[in-house]
Amino acid sequence: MTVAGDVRAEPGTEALPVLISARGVAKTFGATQALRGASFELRAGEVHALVGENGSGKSTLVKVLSGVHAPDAGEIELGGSLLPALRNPRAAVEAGIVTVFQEVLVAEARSVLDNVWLGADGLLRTRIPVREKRARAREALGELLGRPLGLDTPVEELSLSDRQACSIVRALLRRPRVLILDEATSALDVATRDRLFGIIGRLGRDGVGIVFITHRMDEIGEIGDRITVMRSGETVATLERGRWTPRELVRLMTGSDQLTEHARQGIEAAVARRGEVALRTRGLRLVPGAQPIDVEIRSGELVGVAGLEGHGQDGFLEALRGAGAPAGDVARVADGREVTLLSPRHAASYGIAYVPKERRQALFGWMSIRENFAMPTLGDDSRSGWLDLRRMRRRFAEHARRLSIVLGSPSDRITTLSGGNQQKVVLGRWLAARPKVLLLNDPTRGIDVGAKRDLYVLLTRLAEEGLAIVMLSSELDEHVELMDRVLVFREHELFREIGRESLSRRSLVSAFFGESEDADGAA
Amino acid sequence: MALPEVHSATGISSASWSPVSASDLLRLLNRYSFGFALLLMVALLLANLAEESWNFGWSDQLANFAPMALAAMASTPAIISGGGGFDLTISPLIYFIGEIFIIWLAPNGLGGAESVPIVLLIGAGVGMLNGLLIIGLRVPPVVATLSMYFVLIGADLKIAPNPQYLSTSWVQHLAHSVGPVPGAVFTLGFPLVVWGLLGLIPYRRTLYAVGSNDATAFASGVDVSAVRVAAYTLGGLFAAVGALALVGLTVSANSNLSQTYTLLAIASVALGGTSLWGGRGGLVGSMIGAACIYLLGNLLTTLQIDPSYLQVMYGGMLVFAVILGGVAAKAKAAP
Amino acid sequence: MSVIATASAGVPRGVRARLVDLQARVPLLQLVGLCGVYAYLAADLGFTNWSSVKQILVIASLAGLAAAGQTLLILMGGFDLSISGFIVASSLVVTVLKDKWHVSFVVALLIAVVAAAVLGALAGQICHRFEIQPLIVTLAMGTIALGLIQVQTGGSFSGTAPDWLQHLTSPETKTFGFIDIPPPVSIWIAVTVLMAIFLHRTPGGRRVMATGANPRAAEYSLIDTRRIWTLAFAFSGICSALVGMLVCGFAGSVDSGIGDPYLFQSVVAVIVGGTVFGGPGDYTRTVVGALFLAFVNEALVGKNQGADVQNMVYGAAILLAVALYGRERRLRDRI
Repeated sequence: MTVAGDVRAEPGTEALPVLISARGVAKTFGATQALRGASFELRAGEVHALVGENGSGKSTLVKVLSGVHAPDAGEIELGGSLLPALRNPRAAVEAGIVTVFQEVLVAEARSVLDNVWLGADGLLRTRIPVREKRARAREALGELLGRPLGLDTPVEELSLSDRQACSIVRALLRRPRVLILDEATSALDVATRDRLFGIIGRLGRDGVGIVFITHRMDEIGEIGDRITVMRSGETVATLERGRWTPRELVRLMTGSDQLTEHARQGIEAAVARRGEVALRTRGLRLVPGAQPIDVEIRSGELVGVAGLEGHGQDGFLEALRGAGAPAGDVARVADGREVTLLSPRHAASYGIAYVPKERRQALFGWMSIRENFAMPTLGDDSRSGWLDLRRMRRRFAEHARRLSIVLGSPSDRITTLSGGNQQKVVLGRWLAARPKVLLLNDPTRGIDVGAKRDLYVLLTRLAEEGLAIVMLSSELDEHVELMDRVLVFREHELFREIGRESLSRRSLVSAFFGESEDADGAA
Repeated sequence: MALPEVHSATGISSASWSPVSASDLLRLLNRYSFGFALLLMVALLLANLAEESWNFGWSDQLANFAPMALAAMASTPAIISGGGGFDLTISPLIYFIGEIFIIWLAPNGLGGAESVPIVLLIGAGVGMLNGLLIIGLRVPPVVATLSMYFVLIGADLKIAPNPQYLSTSWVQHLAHSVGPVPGAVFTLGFPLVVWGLLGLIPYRRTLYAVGSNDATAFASGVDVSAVRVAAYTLGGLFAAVGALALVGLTVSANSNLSQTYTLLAIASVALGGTSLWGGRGGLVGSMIGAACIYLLGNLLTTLQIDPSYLQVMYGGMLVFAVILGGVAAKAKAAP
Repeated sequence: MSVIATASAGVPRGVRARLVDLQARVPLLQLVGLCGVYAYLAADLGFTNWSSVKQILVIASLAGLAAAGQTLLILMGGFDLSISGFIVASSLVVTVLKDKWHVSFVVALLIAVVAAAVLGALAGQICHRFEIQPLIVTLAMGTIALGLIQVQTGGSFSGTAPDWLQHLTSPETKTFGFIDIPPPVSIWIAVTVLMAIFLHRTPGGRRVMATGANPRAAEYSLIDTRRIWTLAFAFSGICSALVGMLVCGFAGSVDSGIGDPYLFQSVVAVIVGGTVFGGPGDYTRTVVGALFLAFVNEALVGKNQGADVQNMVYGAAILLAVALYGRERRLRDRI
């Protein structure tokens, strides 16, 4: 994998003045020490990427710099002078540090104009006259989106990417000295993201320091001047542009150097495990007037669902799980019979399991690990209406072993587990139901590399055992490494199916953009 | 002039014309949240006027209407502030302040013009206490105001175990007229004027932003705590005006009735288009919602329908209003 | 790879942490408080004989039974405010309407229970379908129920409870004629055991808890949350109707206010018992809460404090309990 071309041609960043210097920052939440003596340095005009697994502390470091959390220890200097502890985000913004957080943060009922200027005035005095607000907002939105956006439109009427754009414009309008982007590109479509990089380049030339957190290697390569790697709450290394490889980054982040340890199976192995048709879509339309989708999912297959955010992939998965669609239907094919899916519960009775997108939507926060595991399959533990707790314990232990879940005690609260282990519990919950079809919606989002690795191995094994697996993922590498074929969605239609032979990051991205197949030329 | 291209969630430009559909109507309903209540109010007003042969008696009707409308308006800022915002204390607070006026202020020579700032201060103080409990203890607003509800009901009973009566007072003008103008115009006008003034400074739109998404507001540097405490304080302030209107109308304080306005206020707010999730609606909507309920009740009374049916009607309107609000909210969440 | 890793070795296990853990599983503080209040009653007011304790237990059992439905609702994240309306309505049905319609007591009771179940189920459906706070819809339902019954009774409260019912609910009556526990208390004990079994040992109970903990996740886990809401609300309605019968037997006659104390006490009992909005919690805690409350009430009565102070104590108790148990996440932790 090569490092992509430069956005800025500056030779090196050693000569630039230091904007932020953080030393020995520590932060503990309850029993968890999120940061232990982390250090970070940001120079004016540089784009400094911050990378690390979940739990590495990078998000916490950003939150400390943004005033969301106050550190327990450590010093932070801004522009050479010591910064008093930032008590809230307002203090940070007034000091010139503005952050765009990962969660798309907009006030839904309010207009675009109100959103992008949120927080700029006090409560009693308007600091910037309305006319100026409108003009500057129009300009900034135009620069980021490349098209005009109605300033009085309620933000809830916008797409996810446009909402994130509003969130970014809000930060830009505050004219920051330091701009922190915490995974702010994940919701953006590729066109907007490229324009954002252009804006970042301009800001850099004006001396603004930019902290950029991302999980995507290609983005780091494209705009990162320096990279700081964090692991287990500490800063492990800082690397200069051109002096790192993805493999080395992964090694620094995890302590081992494989992104995925499992050998990528050959095409013959994939063909060998492919079995009977398990699901069939018939004339499925994700929005009225779209092209009908007719696909077959076979047992033993690993099928990827990909596309730019909001182009229909979620709707497709919802249809597969039985939640319906504007037109057409999905049928479960088993024992030579075809049964149309009527509802998620109906689909579940035919062996279809669905793992939802956000862990928050799947977990019962105050309940124990074991209870979270057992919930959909309580019937298995009950005899004549009575819950057999011993049977539940046994079932759980079995699945915990199979999935290598790391935990203290099964009766601990689910919240004591790391994100990756929580996701394993959710997965285990559905595997316990012995499904024939497994639908997963972005299961590895926000999970550390180790748990991801375990998941990939598990999914391949499950496919070998005959499960039909359909997985929606927002990470190109996952599709390339894991899938037999990938269904690319564009504008709520199935745009292209890419088979394993032609599966590559380039072919995926060009499909996202609707380019014709032979446009996968040289970069 | 080209229409600005607005890309909606479906990626279809809305600059192209399409026939009006149910979702468009619901979107309109969301933007002008009190639209439905307004139409209903006009219809009911006409019905009332017809029944009473146009002898409407505006002064008296407005005076009867004012306490309930003010209770509704007082309940609104807390709900708009979001985060599960709710203020159950308004009805007993109105009676509490009314009792203080009749039992302590009037007999001690404080029953004149000086009573107004005192009463407003007490109302604002209790409202602020609600806000501080919610923010400081981080308990759900429903629970915090429920506990204060109990406290105030108890306080009402303690101060006035038996109904208390007021001798002649200027307050009665609020229920009749000040010159040619119905007195209720002053009581009803006060919150509206205050709310209007708040719209001239950033506070009001910041309140709506906080109600819409408090995490966003906080991350953007807004002092969410101050905004919310201020919202509850406003509620208490408006409740105090409601107390003056009530005392002017009934010239008495009866603690047994302290729960009268609870259901009516919530029904008015919901009917008037204020979303119970926050970030949407307003004072005008709540007043219109209250007007609908009042006019319907008035109509049924004029038609001499059993007063017990009135209770059923109030309950029914509340259910209807919240279902309407729920449907609108769901339509919004759909794309 | 071993399942039980040493990952949790870093968690400190001091005495305080152990106590907090225990409190989360057993209502320790409340039991201590309960013993404390009883000790005070015994010492200061001479409540040492079984007879006086039985008196308190009967009152506690009525509130506790009313709180059974309330517990389920609070576990699911809402409040049931229909309890007072249903209690009065049910009392009226078995006294006034029984005579007016010339039906037997059993039939009248059946009508009351079925009507309450239907209205409750309707409330549950509405709340779930339109995502509305139960507090509001139950408030409306209670008012509607009472209004409908009052239309039938013509506003009269002239009924008296039959003698056998008054005997059944008297503290001096023995269960089955020889066990020296008043029948309402025996019923309460039975209900407590059944509820405990239901919530902790049946799949249905887990599903109720799950619906409260995370409705969305419950749906994904194939739990029919709409059915659970409908059944829970119907159950609460049935409880209220049955308690209404017992209450009118205990009081001898009916008036419009007999339901309110039980509503208030049901809320306080659940919250003071330590059940949190949306869970965790259970009915056993509510039982402890109800007992605690009944003893506190008795202490207040012994000190000549009436409904006014009672209400204020309720308010303070709720606030205290929620401040200890039910605090929400900080805004900064939600970013």
